[in-house]
Amino acid sequence: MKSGAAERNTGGSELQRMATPVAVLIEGVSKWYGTFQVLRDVTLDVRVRERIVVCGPSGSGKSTLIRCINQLETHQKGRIVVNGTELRPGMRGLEEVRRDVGMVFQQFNLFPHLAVIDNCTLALIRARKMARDAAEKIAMENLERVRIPEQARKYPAQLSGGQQQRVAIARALCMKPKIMLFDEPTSALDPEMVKEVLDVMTSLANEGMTMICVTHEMGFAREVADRVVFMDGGEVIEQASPAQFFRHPEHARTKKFLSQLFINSR
Amino acid sequence: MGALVNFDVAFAIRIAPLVLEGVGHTILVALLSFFAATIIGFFWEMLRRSYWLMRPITQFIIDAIRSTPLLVQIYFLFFVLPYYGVTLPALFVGVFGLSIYYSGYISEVFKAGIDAVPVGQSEAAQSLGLNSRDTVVFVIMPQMLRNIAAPLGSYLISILKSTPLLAVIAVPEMQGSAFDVAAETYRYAEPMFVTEVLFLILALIAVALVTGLERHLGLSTPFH
Ligand SMILES: Nc1ncnc2c1ncn2[C@@H]1O[C@H](COP(=O)(O)OP(=O)(O)OP(=O)(O)O)[C@@H](O)[C@H]1O
Ligand SMILES: [Mg+2]
Repeated sequence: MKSGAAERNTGGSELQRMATPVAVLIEGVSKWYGTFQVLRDVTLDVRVRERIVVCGPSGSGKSTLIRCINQLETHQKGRIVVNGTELRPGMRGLEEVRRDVGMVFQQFNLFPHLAVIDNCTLALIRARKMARDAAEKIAMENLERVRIPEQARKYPAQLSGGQQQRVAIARALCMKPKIMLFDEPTSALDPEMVKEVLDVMTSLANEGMTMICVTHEMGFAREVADRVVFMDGGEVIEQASPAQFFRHPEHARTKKFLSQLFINSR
Repeated sequence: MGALVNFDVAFAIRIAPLVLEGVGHTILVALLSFFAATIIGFFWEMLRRSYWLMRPITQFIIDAIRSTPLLVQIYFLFFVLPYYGVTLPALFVGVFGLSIYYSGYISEVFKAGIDAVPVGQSEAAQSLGLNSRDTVVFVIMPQMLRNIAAPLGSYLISILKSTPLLAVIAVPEMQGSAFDVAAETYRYAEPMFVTEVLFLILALIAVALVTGLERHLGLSTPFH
């Protein structure tokens, strides 16, 4: 799977897709904050190696949905199955599930008191019980993967936003996750730094990583995604291949969202 | 103004060593109380966060401790408890009283220190698969330490300045020594002045130590 972007969305891919194991299964999931319903009967399945882009207006529940996948938020109805394990509130072994699901946040959330390399090794040493030497080796490999090995001994505050976000990606990759979740990874960045982060995400996609990305970077969606999921009001309104999604959106709300998005990005 | 005219510098210098005899107890009481108050304060905060029902209960205890005068608490422990058959040594009562009283305030320092660590920090730790203990020890606590260092230092000074209250239960600290000198010589100006100066010196030393420690641990500067 070298050129992932070229291999997607070809004819017959749906059959191929159905033959691929499920990485994340979301089935009839609902969630409430008090009486306010954030997620309404959301159903979505993500296959191994699939790249999903989730978009939608602010407050539509995108963050809440992907945070349910590693149970930073709990759902109250429906089923979520990650790598074959069903997630339940207060379940045992949640840490094990989380180690296979990397997450990248809008605000980076690097540990400010630790050097870049220690950000990367902390979970390897504490959660995977790895020796420091072995952990540092893995950390350096992943820092190279995000093209930032020379910053290993610096502290997060000494790096630019783009560099910090790449460290955050490397930190997640150190755990060798099967799935990566991104929650608007470029929204907090200055425009000139967006590309370096998207480039890293693109090469990750080309390596065959299963990815669910909440993003409004439509260029990235076009180039990398197998499927674009549009949410509004806590519901999945529409999901389609990027070609279909951008050229022939079905729902009025999707059309409205897309037209606003392109006006804003001018 | 007469007092100032009558102020006898030579006499003040002569009695200074007598007042200074109490300095050992002043420092001992202040340090013991500070460490105990810090540990108890941390305990209150952990209790407050442990289980939803503990929150109002702990808060009530902390509020009760904080809203009665320290002097009354000390009187109570020392003079009232013996009526019920509980007689405690003065030094113990002093340290106990100060520790409990200040633990209420210090628990708030811990609360604010933990609350000031962004929630994204523990979310990042959890999403990496760290368990809650490791999250607290390796992610939250180191950042909390930075938030609590300065306020904790100022409570050390506050505790130091509260030690003279223990003169009322005859703990032999500096204020008590000063009262003894005054009672024997019928002169108040010099012993009180000497006490004042000695406290000032102690407080300045404490401030220097706290600042030095903060700097040594790199706690006074923002993250790198
Ligand atoms: N802890 C909470 N308590 C109450 N309401 C919440 C909470 N977190 C989120 N919400 C609400 O849930 C809705 C969905 O939030 P969510 O963060 O998932 O939206 P989003 O699609 O990610 O939006 P954005 O594009 O702004 O990030 C919003 O209306 C938000 O106000
Ligand atoms: Mg969001």
